[in-house]
Amino acid sequence: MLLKGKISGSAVALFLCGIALSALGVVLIYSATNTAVTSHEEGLFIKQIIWIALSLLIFMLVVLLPMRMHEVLSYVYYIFLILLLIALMFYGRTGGGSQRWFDLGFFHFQPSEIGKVIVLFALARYLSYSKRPSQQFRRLIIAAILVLIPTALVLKQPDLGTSLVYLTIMLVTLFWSGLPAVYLLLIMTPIFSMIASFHPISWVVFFAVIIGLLLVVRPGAAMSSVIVAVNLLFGMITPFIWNRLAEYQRLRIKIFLDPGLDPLGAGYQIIQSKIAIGSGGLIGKGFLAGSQTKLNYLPVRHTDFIYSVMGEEFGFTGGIIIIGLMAMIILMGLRTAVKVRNRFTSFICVGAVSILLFQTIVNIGMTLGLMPVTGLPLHFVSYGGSSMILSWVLLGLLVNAEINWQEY
Amino acid sequence: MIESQLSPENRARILIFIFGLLLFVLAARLFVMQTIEHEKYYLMSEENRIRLVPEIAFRGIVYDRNGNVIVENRPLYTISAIPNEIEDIEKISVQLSHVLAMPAEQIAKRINENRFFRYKPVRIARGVSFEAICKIEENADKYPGIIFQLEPARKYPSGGIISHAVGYTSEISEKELMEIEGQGISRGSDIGREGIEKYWDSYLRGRDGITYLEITAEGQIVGNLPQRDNIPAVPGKDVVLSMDYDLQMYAVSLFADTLTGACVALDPRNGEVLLLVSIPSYDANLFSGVLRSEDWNRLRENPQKPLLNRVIKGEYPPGSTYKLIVAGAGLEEGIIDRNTKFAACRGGYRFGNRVFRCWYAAGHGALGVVGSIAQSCDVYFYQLGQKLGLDKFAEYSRKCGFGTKTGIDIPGEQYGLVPDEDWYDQKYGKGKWPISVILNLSIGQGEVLTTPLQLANFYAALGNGGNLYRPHFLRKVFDRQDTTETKPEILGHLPFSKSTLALLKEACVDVLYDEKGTARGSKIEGIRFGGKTGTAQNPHGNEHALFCAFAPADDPIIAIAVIAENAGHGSEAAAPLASKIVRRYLEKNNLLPEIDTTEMMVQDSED
Repeated sequence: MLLKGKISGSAVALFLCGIALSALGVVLIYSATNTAVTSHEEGLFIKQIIWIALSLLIFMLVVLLPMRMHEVLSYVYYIFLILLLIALMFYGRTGGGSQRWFDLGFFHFQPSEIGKVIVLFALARYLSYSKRPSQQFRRLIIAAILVLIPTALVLKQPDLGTSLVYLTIMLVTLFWSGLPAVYLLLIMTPIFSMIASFHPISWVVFFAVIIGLLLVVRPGAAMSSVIVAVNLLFGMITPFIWNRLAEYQRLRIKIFLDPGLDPLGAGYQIIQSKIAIGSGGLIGKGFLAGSQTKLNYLPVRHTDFIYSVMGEEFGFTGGIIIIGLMAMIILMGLRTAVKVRNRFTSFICVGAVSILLFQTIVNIGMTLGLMPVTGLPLHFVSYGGSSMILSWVLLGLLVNAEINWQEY
Repeated sequence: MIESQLSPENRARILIFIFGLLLFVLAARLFVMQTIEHEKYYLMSEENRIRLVPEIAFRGIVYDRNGNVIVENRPLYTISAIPNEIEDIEKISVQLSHVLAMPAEQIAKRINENRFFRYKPVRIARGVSFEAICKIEENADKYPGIIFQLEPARKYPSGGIISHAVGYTSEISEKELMEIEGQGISRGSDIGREGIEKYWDSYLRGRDGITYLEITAEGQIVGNLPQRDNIPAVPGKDVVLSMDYDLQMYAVSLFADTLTGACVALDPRNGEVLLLVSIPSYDANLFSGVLRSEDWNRLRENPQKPLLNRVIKGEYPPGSTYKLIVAGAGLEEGIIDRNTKFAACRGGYRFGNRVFRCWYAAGHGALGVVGSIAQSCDVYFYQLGQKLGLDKFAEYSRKCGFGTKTGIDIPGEQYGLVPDEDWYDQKYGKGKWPISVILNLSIGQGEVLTTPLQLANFYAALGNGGNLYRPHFLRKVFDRQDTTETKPEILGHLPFSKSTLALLKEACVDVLYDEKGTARGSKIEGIRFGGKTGTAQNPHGNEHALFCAFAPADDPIIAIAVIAENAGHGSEAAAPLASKIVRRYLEKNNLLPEIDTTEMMVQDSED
């Protein structure tokens, strides 16, 4: 076989973590759709098993395909993605207030989902090829442009969650490329600028801090002026954008800040999820015995709130198992990133890990009431084809890197 | 430009630290929610899935002494809305407003205010007519989310006849609900507000039941909660009152339409209340279910005060009916004996520079105590009272049960008033009141006030040999398990010796049977019974007519007090009325020799 002699303990462990999470997902989806009153969702766990089977095939393909090929084709993928995202604006299917999918009949194809990997490929390719310190500012700008184009297109759909994933990939890979932490902080300043801009005084204070920071760090005239300009821009347009946000997006942010605002609407989801998890206790109410799950109190429980089902029926025991398995994948992925000799592959590992981590934090954080409702699924566990395939593609990339770590 | 000095290993360590920290925050939050906060969330999840449906207990049935049902229960229809199933609140409200004759804004407001619990029925109207229910049910598709529920409410078949005795019930308020939480009473239950319904509420009320249902987020009922047993409603206990419903009805019928007043009859052998009438009355059914504000205002603003229970809350000067107390005191204190005579009555009595009149302007002449009572000579009592003094007057009044509550088992009883020196000092200032007040008090006028119940109780004691019983309605409380019977309770004794009592009794009989007795027109042939007329001065209008009696004179089975407001002399309005009631009651108890019938038979045979 192709892989003979290459399969390490880590590769097997990564694979088993993915299998364990996927299996747990099937169990939880079974419970989530097994309600006290008749539901049209029964049998979804079978579909999920089919998705897992399909994902495993793709996983094998990703493991077997040489990383070198992706490295070469990175920009081709990237251009293809941009075209798809543009095409989506004209031919995409509209649903739930946003335009995210192509309807392929049997499957809703969501380009932004696979776009997470493609953005990672493009960034990895770019950052692994440019390493001269003198070009650091240019590198920063180009990397930002590479990410901001698809981010803007996804934000247009609108899909806040996925665009935040893209930005996370950028931040982590830039850090991995050797950019000092202070720079990362400066890159992130526009976000703080946005928050501060809701009140004139807070924004003036914030801006004074930025100027002070630039005087201390002295990142060069070009960089400084860009940072000042970007912060000015964000500070000024945020109130404008806020007014242009879709009502449900504004509501989500507001309700995240205060779930009590709308205990029957979006806040209802968070409250019911917290009740489900909190009522589970240390060992949970038992399989199929969660009242929040069984009696429909828990919203979209087979996808976004699958973790709440775990929390209710299996308690802290079940909840910590999922966090633990995720932590193992992330830890092993980072170890591989350090170990691999190929710089491109190293970026891929870090990026894959950060995608998995970001969505885990956002999704579980949401069920615990720590994060707003973004609609990001929990990798491996939530019901859904796109998410499952992406999970196994990311895992495939990690396993591929682990197996071929010695290759340059 | 600053180049990063970090090796890939160190960068990885930083990432592991940051990522690990983030995952740790999740795990920590998870742990806190599932341990420290577990209890709170568990209760919330239970609250979510459990709906408590109260089952309102039936109140006990009330019977009269002869087994007639005088208070029972009827179904009350309540219209409720389930907010979740209503799309257009405005539209539904307008539709309902036509059927229920309620303002649409009020309905819409009520639904909107309770929209928060979207599956919980919001009560819109209670006590809806059966016709309205039919209209809504026939067009159920036009009223999505509108449901009706059935609960028990009080039914008073007699309307207003027994209202002042039995009282009424109405829905428990939120405030009361908080105060008596945990006593098996739920929102929407009725509690007693007046009369027997209030005083014996704890017997009559019963315990409301609870059905535990498991419900989905959509409000769909999954079934009974397996882990919890439903609590069945326990109906209230049934009670038997001492009231004689026939007699009560008869007494009410005797009050002509324009006549206001009160009448109460007791059984002198044990203090049982045989009838309690206060006119005008009100229909207790108005309060059961939903009291309409126009009904309430009409009752409240009526100058004749239909809500006032005159028997226990009406405080009247007793007039000459009080002379028995003064006479008894005089006999006991040795001021008079049966033969003592004072200055003859010439139609008035000069005291200082003022003349106190006798009601009989021609004058009674010189009478003994018996004659003075029978003919109600005021001049005799002016002189007796003067000798008796205010202190003794007050002392004997109190010992005869005046100035204090009788302890009857309906709420709101008034004390009446027995004035003494302290009272006058307080009211007018020390020494600033004339000594002559005792003259008026001695004939039951002036400041002394009594309730009809106090008078009836005194005359009952006079008849039964001196025992002041506690007047009561409750004879028996029973449910399926057990029965409790009320025992008569003696609260005190009249401060009169046997001979005094006998003399007073004789005088009372003379009131009716002596040819000069003031109430001779109201005597009943074939038996002898005792009574006393009275006329209470009324500064606001015509005098009130009073009559108190006990019958038969020996071993009486009924004592009665009647007051006819603004009706003039006791002998004219009150005595005939009391006499009719007494006659009816004695007939019922076969204590009247069938004189009338035999005479008729004799006449028949003569023909």
